[in-house]
Amino acid sequence: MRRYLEVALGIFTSIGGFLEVGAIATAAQAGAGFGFRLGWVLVLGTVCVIFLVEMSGRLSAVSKHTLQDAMRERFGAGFFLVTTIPGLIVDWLVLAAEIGGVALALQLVTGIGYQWWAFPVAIGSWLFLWKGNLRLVEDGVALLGLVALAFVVAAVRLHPPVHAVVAGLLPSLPPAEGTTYWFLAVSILGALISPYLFFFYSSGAIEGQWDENHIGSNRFTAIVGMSFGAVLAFGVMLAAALVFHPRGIQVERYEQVALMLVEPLGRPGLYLFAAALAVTCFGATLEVALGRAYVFAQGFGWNYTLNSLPKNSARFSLVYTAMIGSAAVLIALGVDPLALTVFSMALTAVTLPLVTIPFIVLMNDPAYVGEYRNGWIGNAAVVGISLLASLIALVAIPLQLMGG
Amino acid sequence: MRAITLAFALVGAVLLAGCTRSPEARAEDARMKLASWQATRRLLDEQRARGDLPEQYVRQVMRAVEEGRAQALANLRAASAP
Amino acid sequence: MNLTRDILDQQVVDRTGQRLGKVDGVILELRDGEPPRVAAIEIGPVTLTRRIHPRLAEWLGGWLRRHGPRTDGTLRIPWSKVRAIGVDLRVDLVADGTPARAWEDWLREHVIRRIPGSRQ
Repeated sequence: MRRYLEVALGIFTSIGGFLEVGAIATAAQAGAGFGFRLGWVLVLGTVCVIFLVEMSGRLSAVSKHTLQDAMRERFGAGFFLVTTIPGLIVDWLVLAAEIGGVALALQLVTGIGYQWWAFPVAIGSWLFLWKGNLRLVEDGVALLGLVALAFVVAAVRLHPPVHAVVAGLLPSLPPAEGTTYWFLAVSILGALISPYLFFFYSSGAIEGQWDENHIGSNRFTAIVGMSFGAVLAFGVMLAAALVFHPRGIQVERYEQVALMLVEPLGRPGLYLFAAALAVTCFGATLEVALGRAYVFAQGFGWNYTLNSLPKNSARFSLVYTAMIGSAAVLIALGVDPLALTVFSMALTAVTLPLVTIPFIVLMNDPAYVGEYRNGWIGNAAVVGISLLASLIALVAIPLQLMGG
Repeated sequence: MRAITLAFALVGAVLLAGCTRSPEARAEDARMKLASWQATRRLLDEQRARGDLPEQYVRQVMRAVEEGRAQALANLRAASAP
Repeated sequence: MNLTRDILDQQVVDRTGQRLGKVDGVILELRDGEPPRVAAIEIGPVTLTRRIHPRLAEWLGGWLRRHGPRTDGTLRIPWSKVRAIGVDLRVDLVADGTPARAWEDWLREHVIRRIPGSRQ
C-alpha cells in the first residue's frame, strides 16, 4: 500500500507540477505554430526534470533536509533572501495563471466569465489545503488527473504521421519565424522545469518521512512519473499540430484550444478538455501555493506540515492562504489567463539557474547526500542543465520583448 | 560584482536594440493573426454543423474571434500607418 | 568546528522536536589572549535582516514591537543549552513561551482561530 501511495506522489507531481496550465498553453501554441518541430524541446525538458526531481528526492531522503532547508544552510541567509524574492514574485504570477486555468475551464462549461470564477476557485483550493492533508492532495489529484489522458487519446485518433513526429523529436532550426520559435522553446522549458515542483517534491519526501530505503522508488517515480506527464504534454502538442497547424490557426485564447479535442472526440471533447484543464490547474494551484509556503517555512525555520491542523503551523498556513487569495485578485480583475500563463512561464525560465546551480554543490556534498553522491552522469546532467538554464534565463526576456 | 552587472547591462542593451520589429514584420504578423481567426471561425462552423458544440460555448468562441480580429486589425492599421 | 558551516543558518529544534527557527546569528565572546568563544546563538527576523541591511533591521524591529505580540521575536540561546549538533541543532529548551514563538502564537490566536475549520 505504501509503495502505491509513493508512486501516486510521483504521478501527482507530474500532473500538477509537469502538466499544468503552462505546459498545456505552450504545448498547444507550439503544436499550432510549428507542428511537430518543437517535440525535441519537450524531450529535453522532460530529461532535465527527471534528473532534478530525482535529485530533490535523493537529497531529502538521505539528508532529512528539504531542498530549501539545505539551500539556506549551505549557502547562507543572504543567498536565501536574494533568491526567494524573485521566486515569490514568479510563483505568485504562476499561481494566478493556474487559478485562471481552472476559472477558464469552468467558463467553457458554464458560459459564465472566468473572472467570476476566480474567487470560488480560490476558496475551493484553499479549503482543500486547510482541511486536507498531503496524502489527500497527492492521491486525489493524481487519480482525477488521469482525465488528461484525453489528450493522448485525441492525438492517437487524429492519426499522427509517425515519421514527422519522430523527426520533430530531434533538435531542428526554425523554418522562418525565428523569434517565436525560440520564445516558445524557452517558454516550454520554463513551463516544464518549474522550481516550485522541486521544492514541493522535496517537502513531500520529508513529510512522508523518506529515508535511504526510498532511493530506488524515488528514482522510479521520477522517471516514470515525469515521463507520464511528458506523454500527456506530448498529446497536447500533437493534437494542436494535427488540428490547428494545417489550418493555419494560431492559439491565442483557451477557448480555441478546446476545439482540438472536439475534432477527434466530438462533443465529449469539450468537456474532457475542460475537465483536464481544471484538474491539472487545480493540482498546480495547490502545489504552487504549498511550495511557496514550504519555502518560507523552511527558509525561516518555522513549523510546517499539512498533515495536522492549520493552527499548529500558523505562519505556514497563512502563507498559502495569502498567496491564493491575492493571486485570485489578478484573475478576478480580468487579466487574460493565456497571456499571463505564457508571461509567467518565461519569467520562470529566468529564475531557473538560481535553483539548479545549488544542486551542483549539494549533490556532491557528503554532509548532505552521504555515499549517495552524484556519479559522473548526474554531475554532467546537473552542470548541463545549469548551463542551459543560464542561457535561457538570459534570452527569455529579450525574446518576449521581441514579440514572442 | 560591478563588472558583472555592467556586462549584463551591455548584453541586455544589445539584445533589446534588436527588439523592435520592423513595421513590415508587425503587419505580416497581424495578417497571419487575421487569417488564424478566420480559420478558427471556419473550424467552429464545421463542428457546429455536426452538432458537436453547445450554443453557450459557440458564443464564447465567436466572442474570442471578434476580439481577436479587432486586435489584429488595430495592429495592422498601426503597423501600416507612417 | 566551522561556525558558518555547522552552526549558522542551521535548523534549531527544541527538547520536544518542535522547530524553533534557523540560527540567524551567532554571539561570540571575545577574550583577551584567547580565541573567541561562542557565547550564544540567536534566532529572529531582526537578527537575520541585520546581516543584510542594518537599517532595514532596525525598521523591522520597530514595526514588530509595535504590532501583534509587541516583540521583535529575537531569542538568544546560551551555548550551554545546545545539546547536539547534527542534522539539526538540538537545544535544551521548550519552544512554547519563547519570543521565537511569539508571532506564531499570536497569529494562531488572532487570525487562524477566527477562520472556520481550523480546529477540527
